[in-house]
Amino acid sequence: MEFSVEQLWIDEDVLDEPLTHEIVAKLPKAFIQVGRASTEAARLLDLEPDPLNRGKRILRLMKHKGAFIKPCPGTREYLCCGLKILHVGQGCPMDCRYCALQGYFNRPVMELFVNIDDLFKELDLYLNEDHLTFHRICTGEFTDSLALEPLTGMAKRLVNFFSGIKNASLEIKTKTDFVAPLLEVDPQGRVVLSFSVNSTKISRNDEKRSAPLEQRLAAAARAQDCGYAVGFHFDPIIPFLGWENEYFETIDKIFRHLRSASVAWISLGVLRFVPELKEVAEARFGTLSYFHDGFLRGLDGKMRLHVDRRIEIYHRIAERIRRHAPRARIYLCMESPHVWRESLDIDMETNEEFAAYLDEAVK
Amino acid sequence: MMSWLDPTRSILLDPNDPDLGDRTYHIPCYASLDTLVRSIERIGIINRPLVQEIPGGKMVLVLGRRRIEAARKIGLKAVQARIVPSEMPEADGFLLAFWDNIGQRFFNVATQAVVVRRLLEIFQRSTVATEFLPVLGIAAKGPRLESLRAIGGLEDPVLASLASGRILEKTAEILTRLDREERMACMSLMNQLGMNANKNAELVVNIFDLSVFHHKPISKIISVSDTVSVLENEHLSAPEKASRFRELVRSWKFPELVKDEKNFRDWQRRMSLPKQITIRHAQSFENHSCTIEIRADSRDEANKILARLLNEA
Repeated sequence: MEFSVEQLWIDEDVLDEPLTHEIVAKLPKAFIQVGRASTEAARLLDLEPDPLNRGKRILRLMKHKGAFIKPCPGTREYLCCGLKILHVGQGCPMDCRYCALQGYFNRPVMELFVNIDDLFKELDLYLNEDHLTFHRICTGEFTDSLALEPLTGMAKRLVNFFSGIKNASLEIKTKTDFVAPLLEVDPQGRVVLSFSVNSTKISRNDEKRSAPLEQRLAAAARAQDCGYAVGFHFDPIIPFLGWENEYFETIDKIFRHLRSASVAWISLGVLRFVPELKEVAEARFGTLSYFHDGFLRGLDGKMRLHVDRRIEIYHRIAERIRRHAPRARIYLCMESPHVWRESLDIDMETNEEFAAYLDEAVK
Repeated sequence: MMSWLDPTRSILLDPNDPDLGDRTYHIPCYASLDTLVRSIERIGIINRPLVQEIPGGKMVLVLGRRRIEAARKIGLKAVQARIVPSEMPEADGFLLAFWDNIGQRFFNVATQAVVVRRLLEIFQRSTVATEFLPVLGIAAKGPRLESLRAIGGLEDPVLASLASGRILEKTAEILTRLDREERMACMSLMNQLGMNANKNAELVVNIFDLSVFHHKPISKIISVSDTVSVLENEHLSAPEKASRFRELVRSWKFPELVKDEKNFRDWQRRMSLPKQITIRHAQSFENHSCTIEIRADSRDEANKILARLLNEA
């Protein structure tokens, strides 16, 4: 399934970019607005009751003027794995009800940076300048890495690039199953194809327009067979009534589809959010019961469940994963050394140790 | 727009004639009527109210609702008024009311909400955005308009509480999500507990969260025996009742946190610390770290304490 793009807003300074031409050619039915016309359209879109909903069918092609490579926006209060974000665009055509991006961006439309020559130049320079350091780089932080792949071919270009790089790995993170174009490229061990996964109930009810869990797992299995390392992100874990069995079922399914040896890592993160997200998400989707659990303000200002509850949840999930894969590289996204120790029985004291722990999987 | 003020004619109006329940041109003001009553008693009505006679002979107020209310309160039998033609369209009449009011007074959030709701009923969104939102000082953002629109539909007593600052906009927004019965139960509880706006907000958020998460009506949550016994305890003062009630609700929503807090307090008590030492736990007990604060009366004393601590370390 491809996502429908009804409108293309094109900034004047990217009209001549080759990727702009490719995308326009693939969307013959899209309504195109160039330059200032899109500014007025943006003003009207902002006035709609739910600008994000319509914005998910509008793609703006633009030039990225800042740095393409940025550190992951972690906070110093919790352990961060030192992932670098390759900023290829922002916004996503899928519509997960819990999605943090709803409260993050000011502009409701999807944005794609089409000045990709600049991107590859910067990438080349960055990796050569700092050639002694190993870099884990990911494209799936501000957008889904593959959602627009049928239009852009961006991930395939990146896999080609990273397959020849020694001091970096690329993580492609998705809730789609658009892996087919990537399978034509040998990643040379430099690419991890990661899938965000959840309980079937959350996947079905709260991850609108994403690929069903079974399809994501089937795509992961195909990627594994073509030499890709795969990763899984249980994030956000949402502890609704009866959550254990639902999440255990997903874990069991993963290991029915995949060989544990090809799983690079599995991350866990219990739902946490900036306080505004609850308001934004519920204005869009109506009352979502999980946002009304006992969330407390954490050290970074985000709302989190009580630490003991998180520890219990991580412990139960990790235990289930280890039943299938005793040596699985499980990690916690934005948690403290205390939580690592209590839930995973791992002494993880610093960001550097954490980064090394994940680097080992892809070096 | 045609100027409907030109063809007005003067009439003598019985203050009981206009239908005050009619909201066609209503721009609410939640301030007390007392000052206006005294003013009219002393010097009469300076600016004549504006009314429109609609088919069926009913009189609706375009401008001057509070002057008519005050006149009724005083017991006046007739007031000078002006009447606009019955063919004046609703939109034009509302514009008269809007521009007359906005030029004279500040619109609080309750008034803004009612006005935005009515503007969205009458005009296109883009017209509302370009012609009205800038003067109202409201951002031209759809979700914000939707929130105000919902608040603008609340009952008058709720809007009056919002206007007076007894409840926050956040509380009003939650109240829009409840059915009328639940909303009134919350309002009645807040009136009974007499807390400030921030504490009211905390209480309503917590009760609403418990209601949603446990799929229980709010009326059930606030009528369990524990809460009833607090509310009906004659030995407690109003602030004590409010404090106990808040704590009770908090303990249902955050059981682990409340338990941690109690353990921490007990631990501090057992240590019998001198008054100048306080210990704070980590935010939400996220980890086991503590911050120890020692107050010294002078730098000399601070130096001595530090020297002793460093020696012992």
